[in-house]
Amino acid sequence: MSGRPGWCFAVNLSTYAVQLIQVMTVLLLAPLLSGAIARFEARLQGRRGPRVLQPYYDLWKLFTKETLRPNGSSTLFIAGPVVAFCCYLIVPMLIPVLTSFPLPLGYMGDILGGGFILGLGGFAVALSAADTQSPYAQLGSSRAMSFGALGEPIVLFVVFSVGVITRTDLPYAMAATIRLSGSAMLAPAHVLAAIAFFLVVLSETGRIPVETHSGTLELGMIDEARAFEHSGPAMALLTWGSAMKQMILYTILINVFVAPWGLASSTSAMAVLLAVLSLLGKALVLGCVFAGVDDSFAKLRLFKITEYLAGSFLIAVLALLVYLVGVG
Amino acid sequence: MAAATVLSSPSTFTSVVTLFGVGVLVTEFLMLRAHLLRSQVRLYMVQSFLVAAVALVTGIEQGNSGLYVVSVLSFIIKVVIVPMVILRLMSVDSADLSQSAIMKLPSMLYIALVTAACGFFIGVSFRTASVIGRGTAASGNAVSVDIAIVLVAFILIVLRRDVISQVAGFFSLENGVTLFSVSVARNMPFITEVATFFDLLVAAVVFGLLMRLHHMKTRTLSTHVLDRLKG
Repeated sequence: MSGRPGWCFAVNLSTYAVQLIQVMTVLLLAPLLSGAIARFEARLQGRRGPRVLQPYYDLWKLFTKETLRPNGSSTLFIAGPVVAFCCYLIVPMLIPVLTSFPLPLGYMGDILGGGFILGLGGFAVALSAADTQSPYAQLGSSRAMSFGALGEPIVLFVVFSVGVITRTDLPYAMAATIRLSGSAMLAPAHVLAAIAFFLVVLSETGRIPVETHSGTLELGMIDEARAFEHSGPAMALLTWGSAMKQMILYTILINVFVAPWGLASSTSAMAVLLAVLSLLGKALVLGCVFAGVDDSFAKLRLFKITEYLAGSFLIAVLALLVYLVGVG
Repeated sequence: MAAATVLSSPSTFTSVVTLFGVGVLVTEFLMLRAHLLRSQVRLYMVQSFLVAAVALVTGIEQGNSGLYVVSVLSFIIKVVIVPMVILRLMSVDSADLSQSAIMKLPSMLYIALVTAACGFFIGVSFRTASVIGRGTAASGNAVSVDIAIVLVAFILIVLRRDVISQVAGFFSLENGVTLFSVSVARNMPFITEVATFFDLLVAAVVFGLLMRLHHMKTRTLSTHVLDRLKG
C-alpha cells in the first residue's frame, strides 16, 4: 500500500484528527477567504486591490510588533482578544465544517450553544474595548452590544426554526434533512430561515447596509471601532478572530442552510481534502455574493439599523410561523 | 435526471407554490416600509410576477391550460401595463412617502405580523372545511397564505396615509384574491378571470387619474389633508 503513489489519500483518519483538521481549516483558511473577498471587492470597484495573501502578511507584521496598553486599562484589555480567539476556535468543533456526520466533540454543544459561544467572543471584545476608556472604542463597544442585543432574537428564532423542522438541535441534522430531500430545500420555513440568517451574517460581519467594513469615519463605525486601541499581537488576534468569525458564519450558512453538499461522508484523507476544497470554493462564492451586496447598496443611517434588524426578525418569526401552522 | 425527478414530485410543487405565496406576503411587508413611489410600484411588480409564477406552476401541476393564460395575462397586465400606467400618470415618481406611516416601522411590522398570524390560523380552520379539504396540499397551504395576504393588504391601506401605498394595498389585496382563486377555485369560468383582469386595468387608470388629480389639487400625495368632511 505504502509503495503506491497517493497512498496517503487512502488512509482513514481518526475522528479526532478530522475534528482537529476542521478547526485548522477555519483557522488557516479564514485570512485567505478575507483576502480573496477584499480582492474581488476591489475589482468590483475598478481597483486593483490587495494581494489575496495580504491578510497573512498583515498578521505576521502585527505579531512581530509590541502590544501597547492605554493608561488605566486592566488585564481585560489583553484578555478580551485572547478569549474571543479561543471562542472562535471552539465553534468549528460544533458545526458541520467538513463532515456530514457529527464528530465526537460535536456533541459538546448544539447550534444554540455555538451561537452563545460566538456571542461570548463578541462580548469579550466589547468588554476589552470598554476597558480602554477611549471614547471611540467605547462608542463602538456600546453600539455593537446594542445592535447585538437586537440581533440575538433573530438568531434564536432561526435556531428555533431549525429545531422544529428537524426535531433536533443539531446543525448536522438540518444539513442531512436538506441533502435527503430537494423539496425540503424549497420549504418556505427553510427559505425564510436562510434569508433571515443571511441578513444576520451581513450584520455580524460588518457589511453594508449595516456597516462600512472598510470605512475610516469613526462616527459611523460599530464593530471596527472596538479594535481602535489595540496593537501588536492583540490586534492580530482580533483581526484573525474577525476573519474566523466570518468564515464560521459563512460555513453555517452554507453547510447548514444553503448548500450542504460536498461534505466528507467518511474519514478518509481524500474525502476530507475534497471537503476542504469544496468548503473553500463555496465560501469564496458566498463571499463574492456578500461583496456584490456590499457594492450594490448604500449604508443605512445608524438609527435605521433597527428597522433592518426588525425586518430580519420578522422574516425569522415568519419562518417559524409558517412551519407551525403547517404551511411550510 | 435527479433535478427532473425532484421538480416533478408533488411535494416540490407544493413547496414552490407555497414559497411563492409566502414571497407575495413578504413583498407586502416590504411595501409597509417603501419610501418612494417608484419602489412601491416595483414591489407591486415583483408581487404580481410571483402571482403569475404561482398560476404557471399550478397550471403545470394540474395540466390546466386556462391557468397558463391566467399567468400570461397576469404578467402582461400586472407586471407591465398597470405599473406603467401608474408611473406615467404620476409624474412625481421620486415622491417621498416616508412621512405617511401613522406609526414607526417596527410597530407596523409587528402589527402586520400578528395580522398575518391571524390569517394563517384562520386558514388552518378553513382547511378543515369540506370544500377546501378536498383540495390538494398546495391549495390547503395556499388558503392560509392567501388569507394572510389579504389581511396584511388591509393593514397596508390602514397604516399608510398616502394615496400610492393605499392603491398598492388595494392592488395587493387583488393579488391575494387572485392567488386564492388560482389555488382553490381552479375551475372558475375563464371569462370571469379575464373580466377581473380588465377590471383591474380600468381600476389602474381610474386610480392613476385620481392620484394625479389629488396631487395637482393638494400638492401632496398624503391623504391626511382630506379632512374637509370631517366632523
